[in-house]
Amino acid sequence: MKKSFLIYAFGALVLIAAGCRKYVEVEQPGRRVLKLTSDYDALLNSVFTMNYGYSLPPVMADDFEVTDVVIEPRITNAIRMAYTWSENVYGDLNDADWDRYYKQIYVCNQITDGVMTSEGGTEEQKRATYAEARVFRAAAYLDLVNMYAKHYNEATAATDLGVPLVLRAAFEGVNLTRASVKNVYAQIKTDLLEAMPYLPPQPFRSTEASQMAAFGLLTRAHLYMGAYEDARRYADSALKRNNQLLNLAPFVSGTAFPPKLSQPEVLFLRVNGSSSFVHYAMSRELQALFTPEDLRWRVYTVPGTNYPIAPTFAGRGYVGHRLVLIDVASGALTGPSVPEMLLTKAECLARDNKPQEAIDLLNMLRQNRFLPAEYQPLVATTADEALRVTLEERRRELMWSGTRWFDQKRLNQEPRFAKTVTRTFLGETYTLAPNSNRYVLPIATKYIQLNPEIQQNPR
Amino acid sequence: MSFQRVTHKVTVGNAPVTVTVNMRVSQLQLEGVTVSTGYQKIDKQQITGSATVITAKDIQQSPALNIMERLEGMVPGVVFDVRNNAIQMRTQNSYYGDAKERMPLVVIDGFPAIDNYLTTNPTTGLGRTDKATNNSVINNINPNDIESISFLKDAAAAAIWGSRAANGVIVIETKRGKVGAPSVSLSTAVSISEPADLSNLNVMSTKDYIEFEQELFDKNFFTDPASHWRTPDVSRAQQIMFDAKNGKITTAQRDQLLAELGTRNNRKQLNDVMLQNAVTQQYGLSVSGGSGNSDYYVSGNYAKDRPVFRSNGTESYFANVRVNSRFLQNRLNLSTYINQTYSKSQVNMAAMNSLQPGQFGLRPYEDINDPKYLMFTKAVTDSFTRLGYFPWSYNAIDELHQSKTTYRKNSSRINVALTGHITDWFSLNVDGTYQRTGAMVEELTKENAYATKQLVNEGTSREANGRLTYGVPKGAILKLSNVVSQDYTLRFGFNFNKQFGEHSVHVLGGNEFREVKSEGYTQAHYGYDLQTSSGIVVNPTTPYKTYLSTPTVAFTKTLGYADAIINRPITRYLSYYGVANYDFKKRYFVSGSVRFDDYTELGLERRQRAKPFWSVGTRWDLTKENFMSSLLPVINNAALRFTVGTAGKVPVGGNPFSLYNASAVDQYTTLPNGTISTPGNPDLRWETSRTFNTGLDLRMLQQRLVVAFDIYQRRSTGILVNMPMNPTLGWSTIAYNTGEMKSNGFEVAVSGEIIRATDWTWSGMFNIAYTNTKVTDNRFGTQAVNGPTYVGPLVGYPVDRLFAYRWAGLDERGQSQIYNAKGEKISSFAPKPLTIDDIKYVGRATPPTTGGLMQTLRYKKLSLTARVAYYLGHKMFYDPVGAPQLPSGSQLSGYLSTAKAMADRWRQPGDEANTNVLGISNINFNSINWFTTSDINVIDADNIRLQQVSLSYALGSLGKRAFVKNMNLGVTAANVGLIWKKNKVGVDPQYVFTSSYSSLRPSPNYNFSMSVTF
Repeated sequence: MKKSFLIYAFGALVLIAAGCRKYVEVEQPGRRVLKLTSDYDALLNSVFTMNYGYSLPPVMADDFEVTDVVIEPRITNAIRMAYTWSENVYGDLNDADWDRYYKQIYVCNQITDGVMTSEGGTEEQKRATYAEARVFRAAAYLDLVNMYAKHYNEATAATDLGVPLVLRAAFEGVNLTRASVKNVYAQIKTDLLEAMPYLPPQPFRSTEASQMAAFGLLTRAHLYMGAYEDARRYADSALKRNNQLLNLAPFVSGTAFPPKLSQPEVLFLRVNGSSSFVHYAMSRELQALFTPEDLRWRVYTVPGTNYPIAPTFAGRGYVGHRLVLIDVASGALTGPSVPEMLLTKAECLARDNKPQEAIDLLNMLRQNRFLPAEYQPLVATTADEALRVTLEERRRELMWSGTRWFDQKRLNQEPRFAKTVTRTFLGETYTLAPNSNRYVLPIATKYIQLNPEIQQNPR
Repeated sequence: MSFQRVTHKVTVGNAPVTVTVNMRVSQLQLEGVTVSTGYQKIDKQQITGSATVITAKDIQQSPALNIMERLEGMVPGVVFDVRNNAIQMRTQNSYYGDAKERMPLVVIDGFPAIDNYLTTNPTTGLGRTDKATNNSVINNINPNDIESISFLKDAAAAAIWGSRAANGVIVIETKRGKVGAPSVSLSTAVSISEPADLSNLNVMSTKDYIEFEQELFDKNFFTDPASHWRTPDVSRAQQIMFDAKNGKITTAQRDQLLAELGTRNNRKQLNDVMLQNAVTQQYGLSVSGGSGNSDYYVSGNYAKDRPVFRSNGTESYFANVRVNSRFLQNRLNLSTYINQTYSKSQVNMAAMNSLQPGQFGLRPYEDINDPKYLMFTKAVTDSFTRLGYFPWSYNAIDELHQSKTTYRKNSSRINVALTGHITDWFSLNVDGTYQRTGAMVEELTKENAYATKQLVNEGTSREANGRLTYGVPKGAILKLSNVVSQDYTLRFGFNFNKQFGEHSVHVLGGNEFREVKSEGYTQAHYGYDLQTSSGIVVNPTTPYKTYLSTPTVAFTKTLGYADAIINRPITRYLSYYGVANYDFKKRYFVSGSVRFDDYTELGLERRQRAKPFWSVGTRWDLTKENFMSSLLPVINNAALRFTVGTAGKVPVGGNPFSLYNASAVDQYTTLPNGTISTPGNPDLRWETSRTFNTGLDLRMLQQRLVVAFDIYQRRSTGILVNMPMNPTLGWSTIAYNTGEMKSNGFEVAVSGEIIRATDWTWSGMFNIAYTNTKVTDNRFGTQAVNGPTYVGPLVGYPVDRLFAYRWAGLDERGQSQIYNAKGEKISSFAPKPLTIDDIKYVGRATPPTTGGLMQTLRYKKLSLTARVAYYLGHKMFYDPVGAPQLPSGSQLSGYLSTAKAMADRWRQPGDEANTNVLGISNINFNSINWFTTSDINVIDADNIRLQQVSLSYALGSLGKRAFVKNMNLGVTAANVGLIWKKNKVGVDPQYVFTSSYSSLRPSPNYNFSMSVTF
């Protein structure tokens, strides 16, 4: 009796066990095959992956200058190479900027490939996530094409080499041949414009994509393309969604500067990706553009001897991004902002021979950049003068955002603004001629060895 | 326990009567040693596979503190890396994976252990702090409770434990009670060792160090602290140099002051103040016995470990209860085992930090009593103190008492095994085990600890009226982390064991469910008050003003920690297993095993997730054959063994679908966020390997000489290889099953009694193992290389290949040059893309030949044992300069490299003819990297070490009536030292100089032990 009971009991257990492969298929908290709409959406919220961008453009731009020998030995290899516009920048190593953008593009492609068939989301949510991914992808391509290709030139854009246009997440059968500059810009525009109807006008957080971010990027793209009429139109669209300016006056009387997420001027929060480069020393040329009353000078910059990161140095350093030391993201802001929209619009107006309208916009900005007692409106009578004043204001306002490098590239195409830059480092002098090949970053040798179809830039 | 029915013919008067007696075979009567596979125990004389057994007696013969130390050199083919707490059994069968992934499976009393280590270092892997070792070690199982440890090395072992046993299996059996009167045994051991001798550090003299600073000074590496209030303080020597430069003192005064400084040396002071003798105490008590239907074994153990670094220590407690009970005329057997372990360890880094380069390290001439000013000069620090800030200085002696990290680990393990004997040849069993481990880390930094002062001072701003505002609450900081792991296994099995005439058949099988899960979280408390045990609630994302703020400009900061994470991983396993053994006349043995494993792995289809593994083996006892009979007087026993089997590993690290990994909600954006942890790759399959093992067992000369020989070959296919991918596609590597490799090796173990006399015995053990691996397929085109340490597996080379640059001397700037394949010199200032031909193969990184030797000499009750371990045939990089401490871009402050070789550095053009040691101007990353990984710094790592010498006195049995039945006394010296090394640079290959104390060879350790049985 006992014997048979044991046998039956055992037999039953074996049978139960046999049908039990489901036993091991247990849900893991927080870790699963990518399938839920909310998972796709959350991928875009990883600030560390999605909102960090380039590091080399601000180093190459003429806003930066090393004058104190103390900093010289502290500058790491890639930064040193970029600063001196060397032929080879990355050696045998990876190009961190390139990797960062293509990682973002991979994530966006995962989303555009899969979110529409994902589970657990409404059609509306899926379309919104799809649209946001396209904004992030466009933002990455806009930076890439301006770093690794010649500046957009309507005459040659169809043949100038842009960057590989990867539009789906796969490892095989992806064409890595560099698309033309024109095609890359076309893709940027398509992504942004097609995404627009599904985006919220304003985001919950400025790290997220929105209409104001998309219009900000469209403004930037069209300015770089020289399509001033379109750029102005898009700037207006962006400003319609956000035109708040941050008055800097309280911050010279002890008020704490707002963390990045609370800064009203940000249209799309993207930051400089460098972690090793910390001494944002201002060039003497940039310093000379400021008057001591300028609140940007007083709030965003400090004497090098008072720089928050050791060692301190002679000269003056930019600290705008360090006013809140540990924040949602470190690094200077690089994404589109309300002041950038105003300045772009002003530039377009000046170029359209509307100097007074341009100057009015600048003064609107400058009222927030000086104490009322010290504010003096700018004046310009001719369109040329207005343009010159606008560009100067642009340089002051957007210092250390990295856009200066792209402006240098852009303005060199106009002989009246073409400029030769020289700098001295460790006893050697380096010169960068207007429209030099050195304005176009090389592609890391390693990547070309892996995929020889990627063509190198002449240096 | 097995039962044997013995039939005796007894004559009662004139009538023969047959009496059948059920006899229980006593363990003492079992001849030889048994191997435990975790599922069954097999006589060593009947096993088909390759196994080594270490018995309780062997373990006791080697009374080191650490169980790994006791085993080092004792098991052929198994390398115990005591320093890194890793075990490698035979060869690796994959290209990648760290030592942890290559660990064999550890099985305790039939169930896998919750963590696969024999020992744990309390400071690693337990939570938020991952700090270096403090030398304390906790044995995860009490050495005194071990009955035997079986090392199962071939496929026969792997197949029965399935996918987790690809690296071999270690099966530990704990002691059981014996029927009889209670036996009480008491053991105690104390061991003492001095701190390692600081004068053995291969460092330059104080004078050379000052001269080194002088060179850096002359080359403008340092900033004058007088230049600005925020310039960090400099060393005493540098201050003297600045004073001379600024005209405060004359050159003659400078030279005199520096010369005086050069005569100082703080080694003795550091030794006296920061170090202490390491002392370990162990006390154990066990009671065992049994009667009639039950037996028991109860033991308790306490160990206290005080390492050489002051303010550190570990305590551990063990308690075990094992009860076996038999019911229903011995038809039902219930075995219960309960184990409880508690350990507590305290870590303080001050002593260790004072002895190694870095900001807290002491320069050779610095006095440990003097405060160090790390942020500012003394004058600036003092003015901060006057404003009400905490004194912004560091003192290592104070720090010993200001911070401590406490690790507490509490683990319980309960095993219950119920066996029902339905007939005497068939039984069913239900076994279960439940383990629970709670690990808690408590990191306390008191109010006056440097780290706290730093954080609080930094967050303190001064208002216009002079009042201080504290952004970070004043008080201590307490960080807690807590992880609870739970593991249960439930097993249903049957056991068939029957003799059919001369055939005997033993079959067992069953299935198994297992779940492993854990839950962990962290907490931080600021402004913590030790008296009331309460902290102040802070918002980690609210900015607060820093000390740099002025009444007009605000610099702010947030604490920015993320505590909201609760980790809850869970994994389940489902297995079916079967083992069959058959023998004919105890002469021909055949064995087979099969196992099917399935477990939780995301993104894999059922088909790809589980795979059956099998093994078959045979054994032929030659001595039972007639043709061997003439040899019997010499060869008592000879047997040939053969096994073949498969093993495999599920492709972790690669998935056909992209895996989403949710991260903690971003503290700033408050948005849920996640990343893709593994990209989708539909072509993945299992890594599999097939192993052949052939062995020969010999017993000769009245069992006085025992030889075991094993030779094996393994072929692994479908090895996951991280293929370099163009980052343009989003990833820089993707795993593919493209690798293949072969490995082979042999092991010989010889043990014997050389002299066997009444008063004298001389017995010894010797073993040697050789391994070799070869990559046979790897499609990864290793054309471009980023240096010798980045070379992937290459076809034709061993998996543990070591490559080096070809050194071409220093250039006229004192920096490295290398030769490429064409023999051209390449400068570190103009590096060129290199290919595999530009670097050269220098040898294997792990020892191909390893083994040990143990000799015991006994005279009456006194015996002397010596144990030697050796590692031969490998190469290693030796960094003579302490490259990480070289003054490069980021390392200009604090304690610089004090490596002796740095005294011979390049100083001026022309020196390159006489030295290979880099100069410090123009130093760059390539130059340092080339120097440390070039062929001039490759050394032979062969070494032979005397692990232990011990002397013991066994009082032996004092008679049954005596109160004390047995007594042993012993003295052991461990870490006795190096007997031989091949390299000529004076480097102990196991303790290569890395400028710090932790690289010093430990001093000999003296252990006094006593055990008494009542």
